[in-house]
Amino acid sequence: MTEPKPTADEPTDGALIAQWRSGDQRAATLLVERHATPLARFVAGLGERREVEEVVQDTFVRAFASLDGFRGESSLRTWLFTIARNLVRDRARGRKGARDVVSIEEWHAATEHDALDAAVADETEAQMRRAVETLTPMQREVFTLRVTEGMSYKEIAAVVSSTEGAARVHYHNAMRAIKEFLDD
Amino acid sequence: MTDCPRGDMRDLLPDLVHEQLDAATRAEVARHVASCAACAEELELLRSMRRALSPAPHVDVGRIAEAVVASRVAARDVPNVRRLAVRAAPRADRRMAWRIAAAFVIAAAGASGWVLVRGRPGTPTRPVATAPSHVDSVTAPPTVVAAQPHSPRRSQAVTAAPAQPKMLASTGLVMDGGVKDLSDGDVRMLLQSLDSLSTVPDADPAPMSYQVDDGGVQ
Repeated sequence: MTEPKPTADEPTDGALIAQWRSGDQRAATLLVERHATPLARFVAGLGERREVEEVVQDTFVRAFASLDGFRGESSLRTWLFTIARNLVRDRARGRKGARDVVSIEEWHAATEHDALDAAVADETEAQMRRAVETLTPMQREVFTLRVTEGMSYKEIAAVVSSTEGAARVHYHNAMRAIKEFLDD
Repeated sequence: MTDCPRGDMRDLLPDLVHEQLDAATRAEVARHVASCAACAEELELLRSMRRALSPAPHVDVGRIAEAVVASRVAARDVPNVRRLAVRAAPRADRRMAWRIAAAFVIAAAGASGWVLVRGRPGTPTRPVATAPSHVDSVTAPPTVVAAQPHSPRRSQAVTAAPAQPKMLASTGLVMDGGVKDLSDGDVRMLLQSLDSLSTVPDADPAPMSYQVDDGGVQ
């Protein structure tokens, strides 16, 4: 998914942040509406199976708690994804025996999305999900952010605490691994 | 699937999928894809991957927004409550607190002075009144050997055999002479009794005092 871009009638993230800082609580609702779904998709894609909404909520609460100190050097979206990624990693570390790879059945159960039923029914797309499961956690993060969220390498590097060059390498390695999986 | 040698073109394929390229770049990439089977195949794969991975779990946006707002209210209220608690302390309570603190300081200073005076070497031991001279030594209460300085564990009063009292002419009272006035047998017995103590009191015993008048000891 590309970055949720506000239409001409919609205020930008920066404008909504300014409104929030001045005490307008509706700005929070608009920002959550804009970014919650991509965050949920990203969190689920990283393997958080059962508590996607909780992670997304924690992400927003933490972000808004320190929004006064947000200087806008990175986009709000990048910042939110960085927080979400760290939360998922913290939870994974906190769980004993946590697995890095989520099976397609678990992912399906976690999403509970009607559209997913149709998607999983398609064997080709199911194969693609399995291909993503074979990636390393870093490759998976980079590939998801690049292909699903449409982030630039610069944004990805900010989210995964790496460099643009490293993000590019991870992406191409992930793409090669997926092609090999699908060719087999 | 093969990889196109044009890495710069391959890098732009996800941006083409997400329609994030400007018109000129998009046209250039489109021309390349039209002439490159590997990139055309990879572009189709990216579109399929995006479709496969796009379904997102449902999240309750309203509830999340409420949590965000609630956390802001909570964060603002906590310092306010703390400030109010400090300001709400009545002046009378603060005055009382100062009085209590002052009382503690005075008591501590007094206790320290008492300990210093009592613990100084050469400080005369506290005189203890004993029976007047005319009281029969058999019925007289036992002389108390005053606590010796620098004997913290065994500083308790010890009952000893009556010794030869020294008369104080002005008061008619006698001052006991201390351990040095005891006979060898008495000292031995005293030491044995000290050794036989199973526990040693932590504090000095309460001073013994007797009112002495013409009728004797009361």
